Amino acid sequence: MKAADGCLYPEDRLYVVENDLWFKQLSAERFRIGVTLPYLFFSGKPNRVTVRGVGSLVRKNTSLALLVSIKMEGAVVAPFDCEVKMVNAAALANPVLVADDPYGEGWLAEVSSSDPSAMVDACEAAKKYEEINRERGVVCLQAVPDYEIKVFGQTCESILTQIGDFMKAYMSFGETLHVITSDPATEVDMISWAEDTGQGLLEVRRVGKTLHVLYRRLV
Amino acid sequence: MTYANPNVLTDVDWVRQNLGKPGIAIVEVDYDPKLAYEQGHIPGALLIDWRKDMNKPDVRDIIDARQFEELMSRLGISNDTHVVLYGDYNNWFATFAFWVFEIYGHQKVQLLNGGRKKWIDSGGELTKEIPSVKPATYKVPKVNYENRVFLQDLLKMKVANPNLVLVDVRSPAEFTGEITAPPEYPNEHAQRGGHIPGAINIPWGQAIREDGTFKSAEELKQLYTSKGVSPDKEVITYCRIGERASVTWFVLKHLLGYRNVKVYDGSWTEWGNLVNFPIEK
Repeated sequence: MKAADGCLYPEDRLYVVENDLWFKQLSAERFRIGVTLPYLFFSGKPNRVTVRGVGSLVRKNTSLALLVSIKMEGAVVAPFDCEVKMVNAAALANPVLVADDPYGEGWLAEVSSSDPSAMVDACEAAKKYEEINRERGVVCLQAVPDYEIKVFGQTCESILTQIGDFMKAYMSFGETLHVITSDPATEVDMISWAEDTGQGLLEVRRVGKTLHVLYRRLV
Repeated sequence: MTYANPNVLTDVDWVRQNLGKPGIAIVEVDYDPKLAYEQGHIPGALLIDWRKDMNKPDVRDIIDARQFEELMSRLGISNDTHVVLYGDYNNWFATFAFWVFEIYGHQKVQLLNGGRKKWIDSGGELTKEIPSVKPATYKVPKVNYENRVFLQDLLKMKVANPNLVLVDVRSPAEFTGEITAPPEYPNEHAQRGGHIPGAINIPWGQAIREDGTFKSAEELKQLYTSKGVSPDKEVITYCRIGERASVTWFVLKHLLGYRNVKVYDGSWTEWGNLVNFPIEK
């Protein structure tokens, strides 16, 4: 189900929101797990993923997996005691999968537990995440960006110059940039800037006083 | 070959076994607590917010002795507390904190090898609970700047000391001036890119394994001596603001036992902004 803030919560599984995890039941005691979409917007696109090995007995409140991005060394924490039955080798080898398809190919592991704690359904998860996303400043855009820059309190002109310079200095073609700005007057200019420069404009979203723009570097 | 001073490091197993024991303070030093400590930390760990707690707010400098005493007191750390430091961003800021603890003469301090990343990677327990502490008494006995160099002294040394080696520990793209800072550090750019004339480039990460722990003494010795950074030299390390420079300082001084190693914490954000100062690309 899609929440008002754009975040997606597939209805075919359950969630432990406090741990940013989804659980898809495969059999009586076996679950496939992964991280939720809003978590990825908070933690940043992972460039490295490690998961506890097959056979590991993971105690509650200990870390099950590590997701490393430019801005965060994130821990995926087990909400209950469990045993690791399988890990997603594809995701370990290619961490891009986690951000590109967190509910599908980007799963992390399969675990078994005889005493899984309370999980909630998609609707309940969406409700709980509303508050959490607000606190974390998270909006779910159409893709988890490669880069993120915040530009506040500057003139529109200098914001556009900064975006252009940033793209040229750091971004490869095809990579995406999430720009966060508090200057409401810039919206029209940020859209026409993409047209003028030939850069890709993927999404524009306003949340309160903040403007979120997702670009793709094309030229 | 073992590390020259093996007691400066501890590991995740030791920490796991000693959680909650009296006389030990586990301290997380973060650049961005919102994405680190606040998301979960080692049970019982206290927080040093590197930007707010380790630096003066009004002048670009590390906190002074009195401010360090206040910080220790607030964290419930007394002069004989055994402190273990770890943190985010590849343990950079915990290592910088270690360097500051040494300036202010704290006797029992160790770095957790691999930092926060290693703790998570090894399945460590995490909690969001903030421990309550009783303020302690702390007295800085003496301020020791033998591991620190300011700009004016660096200039004198460059002129007078043929035995000096300047090690720029930034990425090659920063060393050549292609970029002045990576995208995630908007406040650390300089007016110009490049490096201090005469400096050699040995990126800090070459001393670290993929899991965040330090390479072996043998590997480290090979890495630095092969580039002319030998134990007889007078070494100064720098980066952009000094925290990665402190990692290389830690390696040379404590793991390899070099006698003469200093951090130029002004680093590129100082040199790269100075009017009329020479820059090499």
